[in-house]
Amino acid sequence: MKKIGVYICQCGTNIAGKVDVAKIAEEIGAEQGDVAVCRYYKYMCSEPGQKMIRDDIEALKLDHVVEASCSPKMHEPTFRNCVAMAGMNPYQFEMVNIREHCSWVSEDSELATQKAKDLVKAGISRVSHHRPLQIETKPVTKSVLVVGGGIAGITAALKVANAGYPVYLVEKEEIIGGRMAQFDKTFPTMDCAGCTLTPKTSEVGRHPNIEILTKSEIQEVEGFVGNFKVRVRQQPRYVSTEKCTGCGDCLQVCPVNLKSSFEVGLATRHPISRPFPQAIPNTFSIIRAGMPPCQAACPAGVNAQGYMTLAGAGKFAEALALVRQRMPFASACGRICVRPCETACKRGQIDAPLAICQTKRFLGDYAVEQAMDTPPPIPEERPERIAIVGAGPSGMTAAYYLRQQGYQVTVFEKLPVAGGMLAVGIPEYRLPKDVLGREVDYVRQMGVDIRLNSPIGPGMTINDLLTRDGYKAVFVGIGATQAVRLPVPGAEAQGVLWGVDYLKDVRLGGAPSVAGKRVAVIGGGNVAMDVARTALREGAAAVTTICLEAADEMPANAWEVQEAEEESIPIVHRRGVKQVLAADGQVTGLELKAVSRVFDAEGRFAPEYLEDQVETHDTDVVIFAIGQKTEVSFLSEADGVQLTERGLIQVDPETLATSRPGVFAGGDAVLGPATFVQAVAQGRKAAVAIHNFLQYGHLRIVEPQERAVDPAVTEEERLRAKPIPRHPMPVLDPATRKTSYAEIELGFSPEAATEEGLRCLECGLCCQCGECVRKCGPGAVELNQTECLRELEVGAIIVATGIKTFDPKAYPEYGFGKYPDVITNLQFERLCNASGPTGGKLLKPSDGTVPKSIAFIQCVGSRDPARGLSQCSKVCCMISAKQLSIFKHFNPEGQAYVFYIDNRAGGKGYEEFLRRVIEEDQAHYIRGRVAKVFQEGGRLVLRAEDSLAGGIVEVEADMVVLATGLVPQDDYLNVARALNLAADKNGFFLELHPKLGPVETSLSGIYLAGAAQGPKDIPESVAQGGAAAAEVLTLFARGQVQVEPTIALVDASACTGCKTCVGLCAYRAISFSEEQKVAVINEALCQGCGTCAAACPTAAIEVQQFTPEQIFAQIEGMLG
Amino acid sequence: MKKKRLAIYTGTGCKACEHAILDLHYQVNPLTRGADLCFWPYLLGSTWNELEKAERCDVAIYAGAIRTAADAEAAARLRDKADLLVALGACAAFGGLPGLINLVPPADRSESDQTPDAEGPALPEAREKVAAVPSLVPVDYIVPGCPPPQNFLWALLQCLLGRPGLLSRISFAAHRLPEALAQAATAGIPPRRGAVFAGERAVCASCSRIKQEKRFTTAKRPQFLELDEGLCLLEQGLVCAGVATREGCGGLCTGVGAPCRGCYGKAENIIDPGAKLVSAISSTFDAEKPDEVAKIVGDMVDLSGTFYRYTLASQCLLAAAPPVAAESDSPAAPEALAAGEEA
Amino acid sequence: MSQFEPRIIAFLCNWCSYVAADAAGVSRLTQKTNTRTIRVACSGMVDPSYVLKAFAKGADGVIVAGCHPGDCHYISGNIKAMRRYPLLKKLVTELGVEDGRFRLEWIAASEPSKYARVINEMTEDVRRLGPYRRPEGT
Repeated sequence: MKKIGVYICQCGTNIAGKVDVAKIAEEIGAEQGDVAVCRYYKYMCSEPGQKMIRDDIEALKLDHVVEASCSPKMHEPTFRNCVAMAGMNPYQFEMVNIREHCSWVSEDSELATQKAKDLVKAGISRVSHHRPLQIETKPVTKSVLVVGGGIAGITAALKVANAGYPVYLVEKEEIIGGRMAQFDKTFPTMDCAGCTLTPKTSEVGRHPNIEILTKSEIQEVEGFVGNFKVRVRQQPRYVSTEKCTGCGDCLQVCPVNLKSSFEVGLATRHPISRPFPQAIPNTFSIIRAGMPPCQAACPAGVNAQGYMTLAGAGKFAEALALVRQRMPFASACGRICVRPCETACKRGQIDAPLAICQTKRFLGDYAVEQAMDTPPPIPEERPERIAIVGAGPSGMTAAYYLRQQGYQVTVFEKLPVAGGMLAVGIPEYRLPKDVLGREVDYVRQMGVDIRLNSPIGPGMTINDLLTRDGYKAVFVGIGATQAVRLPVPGAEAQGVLWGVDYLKDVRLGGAPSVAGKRVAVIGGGNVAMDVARTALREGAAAVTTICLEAADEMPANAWEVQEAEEESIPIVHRRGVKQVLAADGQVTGLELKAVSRVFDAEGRFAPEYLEDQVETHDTDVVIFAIGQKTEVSFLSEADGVQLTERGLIQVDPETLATSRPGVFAGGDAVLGPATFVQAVAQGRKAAVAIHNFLQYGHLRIVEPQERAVDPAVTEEERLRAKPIPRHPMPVLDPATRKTSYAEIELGFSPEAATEEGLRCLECGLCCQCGECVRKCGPGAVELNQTECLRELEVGAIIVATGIKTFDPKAYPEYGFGKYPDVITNLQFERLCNASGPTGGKLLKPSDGTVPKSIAFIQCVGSRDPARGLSQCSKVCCMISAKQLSIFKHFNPEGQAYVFYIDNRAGGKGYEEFLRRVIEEDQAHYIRGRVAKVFQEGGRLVLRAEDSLAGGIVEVEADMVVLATGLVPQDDYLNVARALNLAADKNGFFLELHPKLGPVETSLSGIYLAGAAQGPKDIPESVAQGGAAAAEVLTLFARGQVQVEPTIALVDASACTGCKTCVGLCAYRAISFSEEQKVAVINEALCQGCGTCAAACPTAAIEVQQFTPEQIFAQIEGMLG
Repeated sequence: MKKKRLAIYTGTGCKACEHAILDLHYQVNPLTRGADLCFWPYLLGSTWNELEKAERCDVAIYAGAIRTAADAEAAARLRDKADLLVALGACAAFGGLPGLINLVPPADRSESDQTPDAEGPALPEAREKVAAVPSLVPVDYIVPGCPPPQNFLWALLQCLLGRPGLLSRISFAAHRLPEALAQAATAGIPPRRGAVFAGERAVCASCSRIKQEKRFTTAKRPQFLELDEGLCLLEQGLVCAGVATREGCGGLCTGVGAPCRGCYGKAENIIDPGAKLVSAISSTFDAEKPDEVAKIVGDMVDLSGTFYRYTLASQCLLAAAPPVAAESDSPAAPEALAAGEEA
Repeated sequence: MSQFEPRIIAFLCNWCSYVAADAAGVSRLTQKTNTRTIRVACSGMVDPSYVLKAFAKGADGVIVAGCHPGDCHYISGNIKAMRRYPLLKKLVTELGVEDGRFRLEWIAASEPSKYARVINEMTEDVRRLGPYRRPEGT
């Protein structure tokens, strides 16, 4: 049996005037079972009234109390406190609103009384289901995260830090200071922004309690007020803040130039730089967008942007060194590579890709011509001996890099020449002997012992090398040197030859002569083209190429096909060989069948033929160039090297280690027929793995992969593209070349190479060419730095991410971007800033002269919902006033015009300042929007309406300054998502209450400061920074947070784990326990909105103080 | 020990529940050994007069809904005659499918007021509304399901006939039953009055499908859906009542890709299955604008027939008749207990 | 005169609509006396069971009022209410609750006059409909 006390307030006549309080009290007292006492009083909220309740609670041992009077919004706390004083749990109290909701709004007194009674009855039946609730408290982590290093963030950080608490200051850019760092002077006092800001920034820089995280962005936040866990992604600075002395030597050597965002595009910067001398952190740093597409596309990962840029700077030796970091054979690669880099090159989307490959060839050849191509000395000799099987690309590459590490390397080659397929697979007109010879010699000069005519096999097996001859490791780099032989009917006839075998025989001598004969080459790959063109040079009367593929399906590189066709080699497409026709064992021709398809839906090679469509093709010689395979018969039992079912050597893809410890394999032997550059990539990979194997046993070193940049061309990159066309490669003319093996491509001149280098778009920004590394005395540049994730534990978060300016390109009629002298007001700030591009002289960007007249256009973007923003950007009126007075300071004779809608000068001393500017500086303020800015006789003309005088005015000006509006940062949504913040329709973060909670958010523990919450000037931002800090310090001083008990709880016995609720919680308070298969609510995150409770299909979730039984009781009470 | 006298009858229904009793397979024989089937018109052609003459019976099982005056009378008679009355199957327990007629005003029910023609037999007069047994007479036990599964039936008989079978059968009987009922079944004693022979939570708890994030884009029909075998049906756009339906079936239907229709009635804690299904499903609508919501809702048809398929007559707050007060949780009849102790 | 006085249960969200109702009182915007208000934390907390319960217990109308979409104190609770309403409306209509007896309204704290207007017009609508009765037969 409950004991409920019911108290009804007359509120003077406010309630009693309309509602018959006495009657209700009487009836309730009579009819309600659980009601122990029911009283009414003139003013329940008065002390006597409250005392009445307290006394009853004690005297009558009441366990629940209902108070019917004004709105709970008004006096619920009062009465909760009152019952609590009497020792009752404040949550066993219910307040009924019979004033605002009843007496004040009703006409008929009888009906009002009835309504009031129903409401009271509802309160009574509800309260009897109230349970006692306890308020929980949790400790607070006394450290704060400030997001954004602008003046607001800096102020907040300093205040909290000075109070003695640790602060993490996260800044997206390389330096702190934000917008204010870009400004010149500040209104209305006209004192220098830098002079007021830099003391603050440097204080932050040296403050023991503040850790600055530059180039960092918050990724994710979990936890709740007082106990946040924040994940921060930090991009590398690439320059050690400890070692960098700020000398600036790096600036002299950096070959890359970019538009400076700090200078708002008015000046260029190097990727390595420091925006201005007083910047904090006061060290240099490097901006890098990521791995450029060319490098990402290269199997060997050669830094193409790097060496192209160096070539562009004429630093050929450095460029070659950079190539050789991952590709030892520049000259060879530059001739025969399939050039995935050029396919990926973004410049290709603008005009034509850079001639990367041919520039690389130039670098290699040039070094030789200059006779400066001698291998660098080996740093330290190592005793371990390593055997390499096969002097092909992968083998020689492995040898190269292993030797660089100081190992004693021996290469075993079964052929009489080194170079593998480069030597015997690729015709001389593409890769001359002497060029390949140079590459091989280079490796020899490094001290690699290359033994020709020394096949591995019986007598010298891999096992022998390891066990008998004392080699510590073996790399197997045998290529795919055997031609694949197709079981074509009649293929045994005289005059049938096989692709790579034929090429080999031609190079080594002993190839059957095709002189004067008709030759048919079967195949559509590069080998087929080589075979055809070789046969031509061997004196064939006519050469035809026959392939399954249509022109656009051919695996051969386009330029190979083109060159073949130039040499008048016809190509027959979409034909397959049905049989080889022969007369008395001698080839007479081919029977061909039409091809219906070459590749299946998945793009796999699966040709189908139209067996009925056949034709014959007369020929004397047929050369099949339809693929090659690896020959592994040299492997013996004892070697213990396992093969795949495809007959290739089985390796661990990470380390290229075979099943036999100490034996590694790469190139075609592992990949099957692959390209030269892939083989080189594997050779290097193996070299690294072998080094790790010998030094640290089986340790694997996983190198972090850098993110590749977006493959689409950006606007800046377009602007960066210098108007230089791609250099065509000079070639021998077809007539002369088809008769000889002379090299067809003649190579680049130094000038051509340099210009190709200059065409680079610098997609990766910093090209990691290493110039600064070489230049930097203290060795502060660390290009191998990688981005890292930091997890911070903080008790509070201050969001001060600031704003950016509206892009005036949305108003083409103002000519921004078209006329150089039409600039934004932020650019104007840089133009008069002493550390700006002009060293503080206000000069026209076009011709560097002092402007005689300047026109300011107000509200560019602002107050224009149709085309720009609906909001007023608040500061632009004052900025323009300030800027025109700066202008007058530079040029007292100058004339300034301001086209405005209204002048908004709300702020201390603002209006006075504006007046002064208008009167003393005789600024000409014209009320009206500018319709058009155009050029006439070298001067800018503004046509506008003068809405005060009426009519159209035209004004001439040397310079036009656009007072652009303020908009949220581009990435404000990421911040909002990470923190769960709400933003208004303009994208500014929502404060808790527009009047009473300007820096709080609906998420307790997360505060706002500065313009991220809405356009602000500096004083306001500083004030908000302070206010946010005060909120944080209040929280820290309290030391603990109270968790309201009116939150949702899960009844685990009823939860079925259907996960309906999990996605609904706006506070991510609901998680799912995979162990118990039930939903779990983080009490501290839960705000008690009850969405989950309403949605829970099994009513397993209840919000305290709003349980279904309480609501049902209330409903029954008011209807009963 | 004296055999328990058992009466079995189906009102308006398909008799699948009686078949379910016959479907007890190996348990059927022990059933006859333990029970004296004193009244089973469907199987034995017993008549009401026989029942009248015969002595009291211990247990009466009523299957089917109460649609006609005859049904109501039968329920009343069995209640009088038997110590324990069991509502067997969704129709008896909740009104079942026949209950959906309650949505149609009697005036519009053309098929139900056929006047009996000369030669045809006189049809029993149809009641204004279909009712579940508990809303007419107090019921001691409820076995939901359409039809009820064998293990629960066997558990019921174990309890009421007081003859625990072999352990294997007992474990079979106790399978997926709440602790208390399982114990009663193993001990062969009647559980507390009003017990429901089924699980306590909702079908999802025993449905094997994987639940991820619920985002309801549009209502789909099974036949037009490329079903992902492993995933929650609701998450694939099938309106599945499993989230708010009492568990016990073990997710038989959902297991084979048929959305749950709620033949076990609402889950323990909730007061109205339809309201909860509406709330659970609509809360996860993948829509932020009224028109988007309207579109999704537009595609959903026959809500009452979907959300209250078996329960309209008894569990829908706006259509149900409240159950008549059953005797409070007094322990089962003394002689039944005694039987339990002997066992 | 004894005209029919319907009883309308009003679920008001604590942050917008309840405040609007208070403000309506403060500015003495007279309303029909037929509402019985229940204060909930958020319109998203209103379980459809409450609505059915209200009708089952003899309410003649039910209104749920919350913050305008986008202004929810709990970020998006009212969006959930917005999602539930049409389906619930469709169900109760099938169950014989006539149009006009069940409404969802967005009433901001700053809209006391809207609150008064909505209450008055709904009261008259429901009065015209007469007392709510379950469909015949049930």
